[in-house]
Formats: sequence, C-alpha cells, structure tokens
Amino acid sequence: MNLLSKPIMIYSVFSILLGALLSLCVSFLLPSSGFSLQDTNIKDKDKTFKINYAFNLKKKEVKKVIKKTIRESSHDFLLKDFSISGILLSDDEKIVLIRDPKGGVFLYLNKSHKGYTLVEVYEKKAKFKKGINYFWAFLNPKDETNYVENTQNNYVTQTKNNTSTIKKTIAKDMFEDIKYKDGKYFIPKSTLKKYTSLDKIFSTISIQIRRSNDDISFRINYLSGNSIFSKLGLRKNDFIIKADNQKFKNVNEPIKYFQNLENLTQLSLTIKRNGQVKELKYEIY
Amino acid sequence: MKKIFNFVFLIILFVVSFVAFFPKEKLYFLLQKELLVHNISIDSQKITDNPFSIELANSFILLSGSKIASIGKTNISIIGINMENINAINSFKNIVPNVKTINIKYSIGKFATIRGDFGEIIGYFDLSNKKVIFEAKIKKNIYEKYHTLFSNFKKIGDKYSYEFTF
Repeated sequence: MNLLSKPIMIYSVFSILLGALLSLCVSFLLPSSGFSLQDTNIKDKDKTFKINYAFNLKKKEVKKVIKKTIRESSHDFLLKDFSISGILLSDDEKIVLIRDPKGGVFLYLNKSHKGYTLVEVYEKKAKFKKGINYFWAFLNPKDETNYVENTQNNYVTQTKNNTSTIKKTIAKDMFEDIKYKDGKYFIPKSTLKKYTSLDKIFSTISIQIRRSNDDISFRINYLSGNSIFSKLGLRKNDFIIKADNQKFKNVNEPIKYFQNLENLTQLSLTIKRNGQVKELKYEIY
Repeated sequence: MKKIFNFVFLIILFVVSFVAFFPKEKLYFLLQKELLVHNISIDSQKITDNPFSIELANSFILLSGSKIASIGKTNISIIGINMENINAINSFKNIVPNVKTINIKYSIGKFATIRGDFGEIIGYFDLSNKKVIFEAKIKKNIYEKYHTLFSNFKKIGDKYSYEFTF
C-alpha cells in the first residue's frame, strides 16, 4: 500500500491501463476474424460468405472484389497435360488433333478434353481454357520454347510432366526406310503399320481446308521436319488438290486413305506448289 | 532530471502495455484482408498470440487460389520476423529454392538473412547511398538452376549482388 501511495506507482498503473484501453479501442477497428481455405470442401459460395462475415463487408462489395479477382487472376500458361499433333482449319470448323495414348482425339472448337475447353485455334497453336486460366498448346516445339522463354508464367502450369516426352514428336530415324528413287517414294508396309493411330499419322501438321466451287483442297499451314508428311515430299504452303487423280469432294476423303493404308499399294498426290502443279507418287511394298 | 526519467519510464510502460494487450491476431486478419485485394492469401493452421509476438504455424501462401509456398513456422515480433522451413509448391519449385530460415530485423544496416540448401543471401541498407543491397553466397550450379530468380544478380568476386535505390 505504501508503494501505491507513491505518485510514480499511480502513474505507472495509469499508464498500463491507458495502454490496455487504447489497444482495446484500436482492436475494435480491426477485423474480428479471418478466414481459412484449408477446408477444401467449402464451396465458393460458402467461402464468399466466410470472407464477408470475417471482414464485416456488405455482400455486394464482396461480389465486386471477387469479380475483380477473377478478371485479374486470369493468366496464360503453357499446356502440359497433353499436347496437340495436328490442326485442321476450314471456313466453318476448327479442329485440333490431340495426342492420346489410345490414339488421336479430334477436338472441335468449344469442346473439352480433360477439362480443357478449346477456345481459339490458329495455324500453329491452340488456346484452351480451364477454370479462369488459359493454356496454350503449340505444334512447333520451338514456338513452345519461345513462349516459355518470353513469359515468366510457365512456373504455374500446375500440371504433370508425363506427357512432355510424347511431345518430342516422332524421331527422324523412324522414316529412314522410306526411299526416293526415279520420282517415286518407296514406303515399306511395315513402316505404315506403325502408324495405326491418327496421332502418329498427324505428327505436327497444320492443315487448312480450302473450298473453291465444289472442289476441296488442303493447304499445309505448318509442317514439322519430323513429320512423316515432310519425309513424303510435302512442304509448307503446299496445296493438296488431288489423290489418285481424283479431286476431293468432301473433307473425310483423306481419312479413307488412312483407314485403308494396309491394303494400299500405290498412291499419287497432286499438289500445287508456288503456283505449279506437281505429282508425288508413292509405292507401298 | 528525475522528472524526465519518470516521464520516459511512463511512456515506455505505456508502449509496452499497449503492445502486450494489443490483439495481434487481429493484425493478422487485417493482413489477410489487405493481401486478398492483390489475389494473395495467407492461410495458417494455428495462430498463437503472445504478449510481444505472434506465431503462425503451418502457413500456406496462395496466389490466385493456388498454393505456391508453405511456411513451417513464422514468428512476427516487435524486433523482427523469423520464418522457418519455407518450401515452394508445385512448379514454383523450379523457380524458388527451398529456404530453411528467413530472419528480418527492423534495423538499419544488415536487415535480412536468408539461409537454405542453396546458400545464403544477406540484405543490407546503405542509407548514405539510399540503396538496398542483397548479397548472395551461392554456387554456380544453383545460380544456373534458379536463373529466373537470380537473373538480376551480378557476379562480384565469389558473390552475387543485387541492389536497387529508393
């Protein structure tokens, strides 16, 4: 009691109380609770409620924040969950061929594969959407490398790397047994048997369908050096106008040739290169 | 003189009292709220409010809803911030190396020390030249592996240095 009677002690107690009171007053201005996202079962709606509740925000204001978040958080990444092996463009349809262990998968615009929706298709690349983010897939590995180098976003691909090895295209040495002699390409049947799936046939090629009158031609927009088509004498910007001297009447006709590869012994393709018509002949033995 | 001493003593007592009674957990909630605007979330499993510090255990940092890093233990006190076991998650592993400790002190001069398997990074304030300097003692293979992170560092002797003015 003697100590308390001293003025400095009274002032000390007063200082402590004042400090405590001030901290209490300031604490009323701060959020009373936070939020935890560790419970992954919480739906987005519930999360909104929790954030709203935690920070005493009006629902309308919270909605605004979330809308802003979605718009700002949309990023472009490199697609690694699967890769594309071909692109088919026409006036009314855009199709991407996706590599798949079971064979190629044709994906039309606005359709989904493994949760990725195809939203845009270009000559050598395609854009997919998953959630709020966009993912790019490239036909040319060089384009992919450039994309990775030019953007710093490649670190958030959130994907597995198991398909990256598939992307490495078909090695050139696999086509060494295809020979060119006397204006004709000689292809062993055993080589063709390896290409039982569309995935293998369409290795890194981009084709655009052109219609003139009732005829259809196929323009090669992009062709990888590793592609079997490259080994078979086709080049970028070539127009394939005929097969076995027959004009194409519909876009499914080339598919028939691929489906009948085993029974095929001879094939000729008429192409238009730099305005000049040229014939490529193939013999299958 | 005695009056001045008493006055300073009371001020110190007031500040200590203010800090000790302040609900530091609410400051953490405020930090969560402010970071949320920038699409960054901090999510901690356990928050311990001590008189002069706050401890966060098993925290995750999320960027646009995706976990990018985990922090084993964080201690924010009136003298500095200590963090232990900081690990990058998913593809961030290729960009940021795992960090054992980060020590940040509220002081001029040496204010930050970052240690990990990759080596050590020390941060200095150079007030006379208004500069912040980071010196990294890392091996060449680490520099090449995490080139994205260290691309702005210049090699000076056996160290890598990065500085910016303020």
